Amino acid sequence: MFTVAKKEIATYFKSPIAYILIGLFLLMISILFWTPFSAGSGDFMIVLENMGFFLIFLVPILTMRILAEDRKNGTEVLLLTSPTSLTKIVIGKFIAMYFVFLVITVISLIYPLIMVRFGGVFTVQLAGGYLGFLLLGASFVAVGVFASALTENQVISAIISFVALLVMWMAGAFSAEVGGFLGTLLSWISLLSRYDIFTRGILGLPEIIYFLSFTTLFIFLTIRVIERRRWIQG
Amino acid sequence: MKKESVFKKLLANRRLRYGSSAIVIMASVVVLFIVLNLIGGLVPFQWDLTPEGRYSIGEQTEEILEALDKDVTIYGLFDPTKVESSSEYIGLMDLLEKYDRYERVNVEYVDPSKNLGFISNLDPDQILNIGLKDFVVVSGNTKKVIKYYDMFVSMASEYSSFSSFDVGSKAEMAFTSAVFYATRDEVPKIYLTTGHGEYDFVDSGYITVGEVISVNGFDYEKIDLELQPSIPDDASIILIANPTSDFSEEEISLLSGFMEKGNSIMVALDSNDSPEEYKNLQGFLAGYNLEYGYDKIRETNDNYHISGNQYMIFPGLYTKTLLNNNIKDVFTKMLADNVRSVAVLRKTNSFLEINPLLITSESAVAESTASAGSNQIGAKFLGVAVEDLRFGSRIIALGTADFVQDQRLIYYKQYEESAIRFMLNSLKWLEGDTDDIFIETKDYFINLVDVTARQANTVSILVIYVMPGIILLAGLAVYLRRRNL
Repeated sequence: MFTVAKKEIATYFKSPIAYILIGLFLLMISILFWTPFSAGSGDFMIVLENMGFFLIFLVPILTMRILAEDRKNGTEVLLLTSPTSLTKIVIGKFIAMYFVFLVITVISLIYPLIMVRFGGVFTVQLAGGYLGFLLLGASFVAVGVFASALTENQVISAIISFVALLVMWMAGAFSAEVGGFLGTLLSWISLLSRYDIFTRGILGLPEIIYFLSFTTLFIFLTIRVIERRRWIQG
Repeated sequence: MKKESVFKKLLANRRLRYGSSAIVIMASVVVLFIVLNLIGGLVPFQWDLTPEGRYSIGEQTEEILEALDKDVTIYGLFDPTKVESSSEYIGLMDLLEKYDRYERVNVEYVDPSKNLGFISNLDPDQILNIGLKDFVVVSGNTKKVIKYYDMFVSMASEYSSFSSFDVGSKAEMAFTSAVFYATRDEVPKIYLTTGHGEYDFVDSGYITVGEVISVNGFDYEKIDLELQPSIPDDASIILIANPTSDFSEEEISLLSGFMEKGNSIMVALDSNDSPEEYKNLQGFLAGYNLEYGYDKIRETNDNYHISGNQYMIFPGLYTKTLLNNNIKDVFTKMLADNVRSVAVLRKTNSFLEINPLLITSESAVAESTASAGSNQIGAKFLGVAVEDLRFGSRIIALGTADFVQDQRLIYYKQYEESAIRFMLNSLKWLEGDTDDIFIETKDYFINLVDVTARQANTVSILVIYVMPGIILLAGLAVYLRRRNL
């Protein structure tokens, strides 16, 4: 599992895509960060909220090739017939993608540290917000990996995961419009609503369970999709 | 054994493993995911990480809710499924979840647009002014309405004259006091005298006091004794807040009659520069062995005054007269200014039980404000409580009124709690009660940085240009190197 992860991470950082993604993501955060900072605000929670939204664009590009490329290049067969179990392969690839996400997250800590340097406070609330960001990232990456397993075309994979993430994000925004049972349902499935709870300063066990089970569910679905394909192909 | 082999065989069946059963397995996992989260949603483990504890309830609220002996329903008049995730009402719903966990408290949300007539049923006479998005706390026939401005501290926006933003939450105070209010058997009423330049609960001086006593289960109203043939029967306490002119003999007569019915009076009088001697008021107080001094207290003991101003003093406190012991510690920093002494006269009135409330240090100077007076050095009482055992009536005379004056509370925010608690507990003692509610406003934590324009520009160059630039250049280097391989 970790061998697969290591190999994928090495591959990723040997291509310019990881650097371009990280660089652009940081540029967006920097622009968001600088406006309140220059006005004397040390509140990074607002930036963290927006960082969640930017992941909708970042993660599909990050994960689009992780399984689709194997399928397109024909190396998927080699993977499926290798002594390593399919579960370990998929989890290994998920870990690799999540590692890239972690690198971005760690680099983003530089902004609150700059605020602390100028008298701001790194609050427990912000730490909780970061925990939410990590859980959100795991869910997003799981969806991205799942989308990548559905097709051999990387662009289609990115579009699928982008649309899926956007729908799951926007569900929360529409829930208040719809109201009633459907509104509750939309709010329940909305990643935005769940993430908002963290950024509001609440650390809730239900939200932690939701994100972890959501991630597990999509990793499981990814395994099932590939396994089903293996069975269909014989 | 046979069973096991059949089971193994069944599992080994490729069709079962990868065929239609795959859908069943996937559906099962999805169901498991839903069930797990439904169960997880029932677990009320939540940690409030906000610095000000915005979504938490304090010990005082817990004690009140635990001690409830009547059922209380808190109605939120809106559809909770239509509240946007960014709305302040989401936080209120989180807070109310904590209330709902108590046996006697029930929180319900009713959308008045779908339940037509609900508001008119709650308030048939339309005297409560209930509106959409209000909360109504109901216990029996008692109802208390909580509006947005009761729950949040808002400030006008610098950028627009039409918008405001919230800087603090008073929600816990509002809900807890409303529950307390709604479950009380009787609501005591305080009448604040007018017509002598007194402070006012609505217009000037004692607006904060008015808000606090209101949420602590008191009703209040103004009364001009000059225009009243008698004091209303529903009056429990008369509050005389810093009059600048004396009361007439007729007014004093009304006050005396009021006391003979077993009621209570509080007089709070600052030291002021006016020549007013308050002869009639002093005569009334003399009946309780009390007399205001014509002086202004200056503290020379550094422990008893604020830094740099010997007239802004921290009086010593006798807490046992008024209060339960567990809150006496908060009284150690009650800030008072423009203070005059309250003397206890050496008369023998065995029916009077006299207890000091506030006292100066031994080295305080009572500077005379009377034309022929002289300064006196030594400890002076600044507040005294007297109980007339004949009628069961009570009176408190305070040599300060400004200690809870609105502007003082704003300027010296750090001493607000002590001052308000002293005032509240004095009123509670006058009413014959010792419980009080004071839950501080939860001021939202504002995380500020101290940065100059130059520093901000330097940081902008670093984070907007240098940092992403270095990473993008690294990407370019990797690309060029890979291209040449």
